[in-house]
Amino acid sequence: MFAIYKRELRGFFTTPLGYVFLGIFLATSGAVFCYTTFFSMSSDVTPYFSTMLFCFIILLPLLTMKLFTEEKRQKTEQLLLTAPVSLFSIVFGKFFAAYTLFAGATIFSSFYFFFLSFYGNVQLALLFGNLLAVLLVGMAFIAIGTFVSAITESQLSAAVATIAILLGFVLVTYLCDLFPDNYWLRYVIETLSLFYRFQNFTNGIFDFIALFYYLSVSALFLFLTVRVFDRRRFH
Amino acid sequence: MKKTFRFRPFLKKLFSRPVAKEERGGGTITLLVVCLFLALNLILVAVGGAWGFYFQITDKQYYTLNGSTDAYFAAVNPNGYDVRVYFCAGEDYLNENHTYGRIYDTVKQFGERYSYVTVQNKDVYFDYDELSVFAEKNETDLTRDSVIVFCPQTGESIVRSLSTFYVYDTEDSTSNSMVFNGEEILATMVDRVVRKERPKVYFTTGHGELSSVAMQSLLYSAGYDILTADLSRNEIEEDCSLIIISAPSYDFKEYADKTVKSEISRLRDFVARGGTVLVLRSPLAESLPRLDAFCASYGLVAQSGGIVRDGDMSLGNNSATLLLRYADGSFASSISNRAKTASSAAIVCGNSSVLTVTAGEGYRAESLLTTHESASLYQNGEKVSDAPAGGYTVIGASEVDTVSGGKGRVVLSMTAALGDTALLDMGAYGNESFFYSLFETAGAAATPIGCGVVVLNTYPLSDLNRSVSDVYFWSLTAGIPLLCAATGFLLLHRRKNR
Repeated sequence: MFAIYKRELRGFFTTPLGYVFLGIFLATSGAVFCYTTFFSMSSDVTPYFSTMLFCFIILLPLLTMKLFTEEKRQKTEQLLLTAPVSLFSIVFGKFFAAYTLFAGATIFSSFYFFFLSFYGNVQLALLFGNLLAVLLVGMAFIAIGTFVSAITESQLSAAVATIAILLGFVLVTYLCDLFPDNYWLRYVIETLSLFYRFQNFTNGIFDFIALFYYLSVSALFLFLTVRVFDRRRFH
Repeated sequence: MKKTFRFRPFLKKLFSRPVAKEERGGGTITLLVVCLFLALNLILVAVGGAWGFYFQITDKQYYTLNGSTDAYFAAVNPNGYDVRVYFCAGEDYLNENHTYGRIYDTVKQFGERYSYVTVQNKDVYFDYDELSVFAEKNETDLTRDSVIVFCPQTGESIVRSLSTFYVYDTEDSTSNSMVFNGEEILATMVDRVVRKERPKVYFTTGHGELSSVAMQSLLYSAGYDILTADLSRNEIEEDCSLIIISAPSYDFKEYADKTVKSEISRLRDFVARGGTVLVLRSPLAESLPRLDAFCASYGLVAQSGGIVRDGDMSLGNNSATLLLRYADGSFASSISNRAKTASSAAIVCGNSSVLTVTAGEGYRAESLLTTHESASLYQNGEKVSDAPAGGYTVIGASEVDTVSGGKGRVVLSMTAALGDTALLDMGAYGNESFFYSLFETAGAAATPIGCGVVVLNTYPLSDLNRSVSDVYFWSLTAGIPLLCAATGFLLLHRRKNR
């Protein structure tokens, strides 16, 4: 798995994609950071992370769109599938490579709060809680993106489909309003909403059930990705 | 032979099955895993709601009842009716959220302090049949964030979302500060369910009046039923105790046919039988001769057209605001004595004109709120005069004795903005207490005056100006990303050349 991980991570930096992603990510996070803190005259960390969560819907598909579609485009997919490595290693290697880039950029952008500490009191506990939460949500987003990349043919369709699915995860919360009387359905929808769980972290609560949820969403979509290739390998 | 379950081979089978013969069962395994994912999460959320698996990252800010509601409850619930407060979620769900936890904490303190208040945790999903009665009666949806206050003796209930127990502190222009107003809101909810008979306030219509949500919210908290009155068509109802004329744009009507009672006549009759008329005049509105004449007949003479400014007593650098103070008259003292028990005596208002108080027969007119003596009056941007001794009068009140031995009142405010949300939510000033004590004189049975609030989430920045912010903005949005792009370009270029 480590070989795939290294190859994939190097792949981000031997093509412009990694730099483009980092550039866009840092520009976006810088703008969001300034608007939620300096221009709002506030050292509250929560608005920055809550806003970035929505930016991830657009940013993270940039990162995941090429994971498997690029292999198809370059006709190296057959080579990869017949290589003496397990599907588990292939999928997780690619996933962790994308996640490393995302986590690195997110952690780097969190250092912006160091500048803020010159002008106000930054709550470190809340900062770490929020950072952990966005890293978990990002993990789930990248797992979803990895799965979509495995089932689509081109990078563009992978990106668009990932954005659509992630938007679906946002809008699912609003579905509750459509079923005011069906409390069981609302319960299921709330349980499945990626953003509903994030709120606890913004309130200064570390929620282990949310942690399990994000890990399980990631595991589910990675498992589905493995299943996709499992089928493809023998057909 | 006993078959033992081995976790590692099971995982291996799940993720890297290498043989095609098992392909037939692949779909079942996928379905099984998806179902397992759903079931585990649903169960964990249910279990977590009951027991909670979390820890607090930040310190909790608690709120402690200080007895400020004692007198209020004695007045609104003299019979000691039972009051049941139902939270639609488990204790741990509420405590998992700091803001909800604080409300829950406050209600529990209510339960400890007042024996007739009982607190129960329900589950909106599992106890829905029991709770749906309240949802239907209040024509609202229930969620886990709902709280229900119910009085079995009166059968009245109120449903409210926990998120509405907080308001933004508008004194902080960045709106970073939240104010927890839970004690007042809970006290008001108790009042609404235990009392069936309520005083009524009517807002006049038909003169381009502005509706003030903040003022209506205050009246609701003061226990009023809020209604509207078209004085051109109908008499003022017998059960009305207060009429509010909120920033009218057009004057009141008078009819050529003198047999038809005019709107002003109806107001006069209302005052004569012991009602209170509160006139909120917009300083920028056109002249309203009939309404002004009505007020002047009670000794309150509006001086429209000028705006009063006070550089020394304004709010921060906002010259459009004015800090007012109570005058020395007897009515002003009765109001200020009550209001000052709860809050600062200083009152803040927006743009304002002034009025003069004149003596006359049949009424006792006096100043209620005045500016400081550093104020000046401006017309068309030019200073017209400086404040007289005692300051300009911005709000005046006039009392008349009624036949039945009661008192009718006319209160004229030359600033409609006194009741704006932005001003009422300023915790440091006494606007809310002023109105509450005024409503008490106008017939409100009890007001939650003096209930405490907690200011939360204040994260201000200091020593930061716009140019420094701009430097950070351009560095973070352009500098670092461009550096990243340039590094990438150089590395790729070097790699290509190699």
